[in-house]
Amino acid sequence: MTFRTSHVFALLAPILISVQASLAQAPAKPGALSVEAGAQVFTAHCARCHGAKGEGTTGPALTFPKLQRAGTDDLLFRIIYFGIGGTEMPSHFGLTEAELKQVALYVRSLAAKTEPVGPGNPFSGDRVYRAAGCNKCHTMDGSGGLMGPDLSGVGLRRNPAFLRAALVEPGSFLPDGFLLVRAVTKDGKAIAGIRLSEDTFSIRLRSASGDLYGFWKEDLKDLQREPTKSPMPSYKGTLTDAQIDDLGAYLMTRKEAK
Amino acid sequence: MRLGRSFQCAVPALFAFAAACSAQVTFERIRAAEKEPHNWLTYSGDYSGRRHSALKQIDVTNVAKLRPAWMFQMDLNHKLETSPIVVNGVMYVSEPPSNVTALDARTGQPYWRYRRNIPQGVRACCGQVNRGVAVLGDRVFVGTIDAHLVSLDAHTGRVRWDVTVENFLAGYSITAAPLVVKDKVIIGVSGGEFGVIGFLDAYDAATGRRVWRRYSIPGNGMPEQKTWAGESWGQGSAATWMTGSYDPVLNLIYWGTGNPAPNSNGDDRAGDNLYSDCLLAIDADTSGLRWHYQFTPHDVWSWDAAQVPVLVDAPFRGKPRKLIVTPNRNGFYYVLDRSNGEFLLAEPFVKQTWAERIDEKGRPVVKADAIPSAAGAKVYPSPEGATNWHSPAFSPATNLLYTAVREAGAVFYKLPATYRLGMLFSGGSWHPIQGEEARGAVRALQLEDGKMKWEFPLHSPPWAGMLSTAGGLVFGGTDEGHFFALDAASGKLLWRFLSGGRITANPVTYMVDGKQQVAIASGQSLVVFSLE
Ligand code: HEC
Ligand code: HEC
Repeated sequence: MTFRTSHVFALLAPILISVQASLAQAPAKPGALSVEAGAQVFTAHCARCHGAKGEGTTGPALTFPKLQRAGTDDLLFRIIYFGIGGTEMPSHFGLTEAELKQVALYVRSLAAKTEPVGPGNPFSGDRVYRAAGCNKCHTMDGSGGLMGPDLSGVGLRRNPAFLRAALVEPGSFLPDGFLLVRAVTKDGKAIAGIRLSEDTFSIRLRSASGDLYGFWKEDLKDLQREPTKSPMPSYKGTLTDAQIDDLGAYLMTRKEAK
Repeated sequence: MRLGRSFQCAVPALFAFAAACSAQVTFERIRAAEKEPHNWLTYSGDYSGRRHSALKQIDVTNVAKLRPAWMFQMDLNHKLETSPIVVNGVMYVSEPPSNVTALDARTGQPYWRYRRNIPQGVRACCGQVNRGVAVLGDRVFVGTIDAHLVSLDAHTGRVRWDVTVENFLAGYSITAAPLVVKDKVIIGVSGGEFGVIGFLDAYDAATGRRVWRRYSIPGNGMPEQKTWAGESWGQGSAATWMTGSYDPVLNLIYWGTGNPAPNSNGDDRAGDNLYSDCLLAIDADTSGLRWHYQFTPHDVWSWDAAQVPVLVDAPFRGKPRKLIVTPNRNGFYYVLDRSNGEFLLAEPFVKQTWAERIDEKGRPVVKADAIPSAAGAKVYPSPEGATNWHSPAFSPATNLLYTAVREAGAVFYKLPATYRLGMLFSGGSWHPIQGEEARGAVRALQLEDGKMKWEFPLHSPPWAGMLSTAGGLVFGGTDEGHFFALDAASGKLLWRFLSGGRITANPVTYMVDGKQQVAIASGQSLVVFSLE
């Protein structure tokens, strides 16, 4: 079942408590407001993106003393319950009020741990970024290519380990819905690009040069999907280890919210 | 409601008989609904749940010329799951959350509208939806999201009576279309995610007085209550949130029940948890439970058995039988004898990884690694099921059962669950399997063995039901908004139309002014088609 009501939040509003305060008096009883109970909720609802211990996997690490978007408890509740529109952070309307409080408490408890700072120098990373031609495929601060995701806010949504993997092993994680396709028309024209949308009868894609194409599937001779392939080259070998670290450090500073 | 005019009766000679010209829908007319296919008198078209129409003006040779005749835009921003009723050119369509409009099916314009104020704090797990109304005499009946049953005057839309079925603050709501049987209105409740106690109610159509209530969880003193550990039955759910079918000869109502609560955590409810995930055969007069069959004992995957069951009289292994067939959310297609509940067959119709097999008594042999855990268990199908509430269809001409299937798995997690009145009580969570694109299909299953005759693949898992017609057609819809017609015999695509909105509803067909129309809800609209 999926849950789409907003009553949980409505009921929650009057009891937005200071999580820090309740942490001090957190009872150990299972199912009650405790960090342990929150950890269980976190495993079931959050760990696949934020890592088993909040260290970040495909989503950002949550181990910061002050979270970018969830500075206050109110914001934290809101982000968890409603998600962040236009990003991979989903809503969690299926959480009970108790679970919501537990998981928020758990997220706050992570702040005690150390912040995952990657190695590398962001200033040299900026130079590497410009020299390596990343701009051909990525947009940064409003300019650049369209093949890959906009990187202006990449530091908000990823963590250092993820960024390193993205550079040396592209395709190890493909963003939600990302798919490279190759369409061959009946007269033999082949067009490769990123799928923008698809249904049972038709498909639309954008080529590397940004051109938009739409096809009826019945008009195609062939339609190949490359579910594990990224058009991004691996920079292992092309860039030195230190350069990759620098790039990662630079990208982690890119935190422009959508 | 201007029904007295003679053109209302101008139906093809084949269907012209006195009763069809009357505005008064009687039980006898609903019982013989297949004899007046220019009307759509009850949720599934007739009592058998087949969603099959004898109309054949639109057929395999001309369906390519099907065009939109009109559209009706609704004014509320909720998901549309409605399936209209049509009586002599008047269409009664429910709009979410709990409104009703009577439309002139010829012009698409309204006769009247009923608007209900919904109180704050209604509980609905999955959207404030409504799937349709029922008619009897000059009354229209609608169940509401705040768990009332309302009788409207078919001429004016005015409220004739309004009864509280249950307290919505405790988690009850109504999303299903009522079913009229004899002089009673049968209605089930939603609330399976809130730990309610499920039941099926019968109300006197004239007065709104409750005639009987059949709980879907056994009462105190009944031995079946022992299928719930301790007091866990008290918030066990087994909601009755879809419309059932009815056999007038056996006088049995067949109604599916939903998941036990909490959905994904069975620790505190050891046992089979009767009558969750069951098909119940209930005497229409006395509410006596004739038999039950449980598809998923001690369910921890949320595989409600609420979907509309299909009644077919057909030979099974050489012997004529009164059958009841249903593709279940758990991934198996089932054939039972509907006179006594005897289990006859279970055959998987999608990828499923939770059961070793279904044994000869009809009991699943469950794989240990399929049980939701704190670390997560990967299982097919997903909690949204191999199919869901959207209707299947059955054609007596092809002897095939058409079902819109969902090919998807999920990772299921178990969490602690504490019951609190009116609060979500799910005991877990789930997410789709990373890196896998879920798929859908329309599949035609052979009645007797459940084997697939053909399939028509769909890009996404569908939430749209099927309609089959004597014109040799099967209609269906997609998540991306296509409404389409397939050749019922081969599955070949014959026609499609992009409606522009997501389709999460069942199609219906009927006739106005001698023209066959097909209607489907899509996005925020009802779209109606006829031949050019
Ligand atoms: C499908 C993946 C996914 C799931 C599941 C998920 N998140 Fe997120 N979350 C993200 C991403 C990606 C972002 C960053 C969004 C952005 O800014 O682009 C994020 C952002 C956040 C933020 C803001 C971080 C900041 O620095 O301000 C918080 C807090 C958060 N998530 C908490 C949670 C919690 C708690 C859960 C479980 C209840 C959860 N998330 C589940 C992917 C996910
Ligand atoms: C040929 C085009 C191309 C080039 C050149 C390219 N990328 Fe990419 N990049 C992509 C595409 C497409 C994706 C999305 C698919 C994927 O994740 O592999 C991507 C993904 C990424 C991601 C992951 C983003 C996310 O949020 O998931 C990062 C980080 C990234 N690229 C950084 C870089 C950097 C830094 C460079 C230059 C050193 C670079 N890319 C060069 C095409 C390119």
